[in-house]
Amino acid sequence: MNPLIRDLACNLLAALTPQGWAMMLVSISVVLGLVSYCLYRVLTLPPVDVQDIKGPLEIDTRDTTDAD
Amino acid sequence: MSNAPQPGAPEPSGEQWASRIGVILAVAGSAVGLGNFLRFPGNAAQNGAGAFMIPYFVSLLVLGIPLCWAEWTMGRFGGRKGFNSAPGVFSVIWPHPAAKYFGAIALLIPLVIYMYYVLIEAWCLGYAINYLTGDLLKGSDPKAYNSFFGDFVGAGSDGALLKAGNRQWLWVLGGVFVLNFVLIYRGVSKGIEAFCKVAMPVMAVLALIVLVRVLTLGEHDGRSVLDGLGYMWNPDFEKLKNPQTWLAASGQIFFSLSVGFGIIVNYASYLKDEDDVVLSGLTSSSMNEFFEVCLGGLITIPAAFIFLGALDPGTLDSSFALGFKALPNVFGGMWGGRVIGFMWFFMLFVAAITSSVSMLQPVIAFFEEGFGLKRHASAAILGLISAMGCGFVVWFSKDLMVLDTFDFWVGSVLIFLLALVQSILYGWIFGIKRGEEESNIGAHLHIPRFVQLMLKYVVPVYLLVIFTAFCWNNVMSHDIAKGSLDIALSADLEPGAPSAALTAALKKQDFKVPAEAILQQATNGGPWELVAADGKQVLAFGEPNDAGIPILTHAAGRLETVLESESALSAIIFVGLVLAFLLVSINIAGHRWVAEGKLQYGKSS
Repeated sequence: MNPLIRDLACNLLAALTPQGWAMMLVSISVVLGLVSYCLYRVLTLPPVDVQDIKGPLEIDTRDTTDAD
Repeated sequence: MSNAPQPGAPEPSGEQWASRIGVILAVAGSAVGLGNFLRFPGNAAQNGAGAFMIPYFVSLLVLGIPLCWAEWTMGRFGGRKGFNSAPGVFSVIWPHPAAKYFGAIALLIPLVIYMYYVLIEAWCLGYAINYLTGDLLKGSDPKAYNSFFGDFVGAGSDGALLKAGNRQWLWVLGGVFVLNFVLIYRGVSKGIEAFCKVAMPVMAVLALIVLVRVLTLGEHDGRSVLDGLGYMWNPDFEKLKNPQTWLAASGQIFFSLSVGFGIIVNYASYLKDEDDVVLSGLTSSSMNEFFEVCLGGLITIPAAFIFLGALDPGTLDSSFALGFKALPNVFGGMWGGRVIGFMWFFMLFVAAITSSVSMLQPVIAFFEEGFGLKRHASAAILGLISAMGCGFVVWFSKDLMVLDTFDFWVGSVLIFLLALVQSILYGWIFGIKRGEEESNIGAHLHIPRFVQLMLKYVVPVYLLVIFTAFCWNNVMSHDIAKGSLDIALSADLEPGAPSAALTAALKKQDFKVPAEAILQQATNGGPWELVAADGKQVLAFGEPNDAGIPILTHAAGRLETVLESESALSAIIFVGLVLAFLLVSINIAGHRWVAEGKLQYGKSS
């Protein structure tokens, strides 16, 4: 890249402008808000009924025994 | 609805996820990869920086999340009907003999991507090891890192990685390859789910440590952290007028969420009948966004800008250049760079392995249900095929041409195609009314009605438009106007060596004129072109107009590359052979399913 263009770009884009702050904070807040809401909903769901629980050891995968 | 199979109904698969959070972490792990940390920041910095987030979020809402929900819904539906592989799932959604063959794309994509992705995964681990040993601390000379990468991946010549002195990294590749198969062999819940439950938090912690280090970097050559963040986030709203920005944002969302990879359909098929798909789909997508925007967006470009200044488009455009050349240069100049470099590349390795392991499961599921094979036999066949493909990529390492060809034609073009097929299957064949009913089963969150309408009317059209634009930009060759000459130089366009005036005018505009280059007319009466001694076109000159004589540079499209490069053509032939094998296998499996009464064509499930 031309050194002059490079330096110009550095100067023009120096530091974080108020608009840059706004875009960064809004984007990060939206994503953090969404992921927090989703995780809160998932982690506070009522536990699955005991009779429905299929832990790894109880699952008969039917494909890991009696290898061909 | 009960988990027990109904009388006469096809028997659901034996494998299931063990927990809600397990499947979410597995799907998020499949989506989070190198693209989140390297492709996204490069794309954003080139396309309006902070302004890029506007088309990015629009694409997420219009394209990404609706398609994810459609895939989750179709996958769970197929699983309830006894199918885990795409050919089976597509066949119960569209009970037509042709449906299963579309599933070949959903098997081909993860299989071929795995063949080269496992190699990139090994590079990440190899780089992490090199930081531990201190071999990657090469100061601030960019050439040292370029040369290290070239030697490390064998870009100099075909077969370079098998030559004496380079072979030690093949052990790393072998180890990573085996690790993937150990995880997949253990099964969906004991292998993939158990691994992702550990790997995802580890990845988040490592990325957060690197983020803290980047945000606490001091000034370097007069550039501070705020300057770095400014380079990444200061919006250039003018870029929003450029369609290329919208295309880049759509593409980023599309690849980032792993829609159209054939993986979500397979993973969702292991859900229980009443497991939620809507909240789970949204949670895994939002986790992917967390890694991409909150971590990828704050680490990569700001760190690179502080140490290297404004990056050239070539670096921003290439994940390899940014990740394996520019960032090691950054770590080389950073206090604590050895530890941070190790953490960064180990984190990328973990991100890559949670993705690569997901690429094996769709094909294993097909071999199991298509031929009634046990997991051992399915894993062995898949291991053999993927090892052949991986060996092909390792051997043809010159300029990474085979890897690049696989990545473009399978990892980009076919993904668009599969997403288009799936959106039509969901919106027009499965039907949005049925899709709404199906997605509501066990849902802890309901998909708004307008999203169903978007899935039917907007998403296929949107996909078709960006697919067409993507192919036009990348598959076809273009002559791009990069400047113009004074009309008075028309007289200098004559056969032979370029005149001194013409050479001077070109050099003035930063065009290189190789020694012994000659001017010739491409065809009788056609445009003039400047041709190097090896016969390759350097520049062409368009028809004179009011602005002068346009100077055109030739941007070779992917089609031209395939026709001109033996390695690229070999890669396409290899993919064709794998596709043929899959189509034949699907044909045999289809006959088997019909004979067993598992599949009845023309009868909607």
